Amino acid sequence: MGSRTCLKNWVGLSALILLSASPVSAQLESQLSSYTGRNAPGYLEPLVDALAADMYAGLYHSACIPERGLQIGLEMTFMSAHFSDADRTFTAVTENGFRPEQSVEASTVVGPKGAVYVDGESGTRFAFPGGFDLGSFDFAVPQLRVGSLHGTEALLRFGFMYPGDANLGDFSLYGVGLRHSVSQYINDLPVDIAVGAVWQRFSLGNNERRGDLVSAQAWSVGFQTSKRFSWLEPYAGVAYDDFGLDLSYKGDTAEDTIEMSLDSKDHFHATLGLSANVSFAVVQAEYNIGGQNVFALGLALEFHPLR
Amino acid sequence: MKRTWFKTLLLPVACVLALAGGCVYDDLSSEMVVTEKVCVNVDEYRTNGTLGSAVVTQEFAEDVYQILEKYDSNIKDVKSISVVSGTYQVTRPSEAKHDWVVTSQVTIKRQDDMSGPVTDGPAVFVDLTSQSLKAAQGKAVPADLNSAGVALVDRALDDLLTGQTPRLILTMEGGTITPAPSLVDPLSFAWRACVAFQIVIDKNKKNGK
Repeated sequence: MGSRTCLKNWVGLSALILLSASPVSAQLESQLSSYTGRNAPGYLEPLVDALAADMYAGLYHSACIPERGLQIGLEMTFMSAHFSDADRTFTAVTENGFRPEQSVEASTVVGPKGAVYVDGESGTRFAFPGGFDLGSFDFAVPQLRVGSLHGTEALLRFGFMYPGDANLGDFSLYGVGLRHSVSQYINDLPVDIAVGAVWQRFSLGNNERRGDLVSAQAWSVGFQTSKRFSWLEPYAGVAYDDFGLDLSYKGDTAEDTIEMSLDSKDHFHATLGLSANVSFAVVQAEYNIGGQNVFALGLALEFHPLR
Repeated sequence: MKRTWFKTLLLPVACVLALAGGCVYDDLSSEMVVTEKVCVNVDEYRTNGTLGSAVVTQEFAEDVYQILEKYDSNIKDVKSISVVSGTYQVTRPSEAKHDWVVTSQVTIKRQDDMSGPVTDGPAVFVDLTSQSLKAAQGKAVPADLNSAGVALVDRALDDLLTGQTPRLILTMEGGTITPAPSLVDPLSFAWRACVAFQIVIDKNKKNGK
């Protein structure tokens, strides 16, 4: 009964946080629709990189995986990727037959809210859309960790679907991962070591064909180490990441749906963190260093039903 | 005991996360740009070297209101409307094996009331100078817009923002066709002319932010 109440509260809290991101999808499609394709990658790039970096945070808080014994962890991780000044603008090029073609520094999706204008031939004028003036891209994700069998544990990041109205669209994130203890094979190792792989999928918004406006897949393969000192456990890790994002939207003036794939240019990140183990709860704080740095805070409740 | 622990830990984290989420995504509106094309389709059948006149009436207001409704906005949210470009293309080519070259002009005038006077223009809007029909077949060719015509459209769009309902009349003026069509070699084709304009929508505008 206690566990069911915990789970219910957990889900409610997670939904609250995830819903706060929904207005982004509604306006994102509107903003993108004025671009026929060539400017869309530059406009979205900071958000793509931040989303990728966020998705790789909070995947673990220890490299210690018991050899066997059922343990269940209910976790909530809050990630925050901060944007720099360089993320706020990109070099955009006029579209839609505007003459003469001109390049200008215009807002990215996280940049200033104001539109940018350029004047052309015969009194014509071209406007580039504004951004959302975001200082960071933050979201929280609940996850379930289940172990251990032969020093292996599984991680499930929960899928969250919000049945929003046509203006808001849906938001979902889910993923699965496996981690395996390496230190179980090496005697007298002063630290715990583990390796792991995680796959995640993220989608945001609805396009006019009722498909996803944005859908992304992320892979990460890495190794982690940690050392427990009483109730404190510093941990670190490095990982190779692969992130791809598909975009599908209807342009204002394009006859066909505009579809494109964007890949994150960042493929490695390092993690430094500290977790505090208090009774059955673990509080973690970590900093992920990569193309886009991410700060993460997490809380885990660990249960050992068979103990 | 366990429930007390849980509540003690959960409450501060819930507050921090809820506040963070609320702050980060508060006031997500930004200046939105909607690009729209208004097109006219014209069918031509000529048996001599003179291009006939074609008249098309355009109710800009109707188009703009539909766009605003689609984006859950109204005329008070509009920061600006302006002409971006003009294009034309041959949508149904001539069956003749040879090419045709057309020189003409599209003029524009404003007549809000069908039975009333012309209140602005006419002014030259598009110049077609020695345009090969084959070159415009199946693809939109950028048109040479004339500043007098663009200014007339801009004035009409500005008046639209003040609640008027401008009605614009585009006229394809009689031009020349080379080689000259004849009864045995008639020119029959269809073409589409489009004007792209952008509406900048700022939902904070009417709130005075």
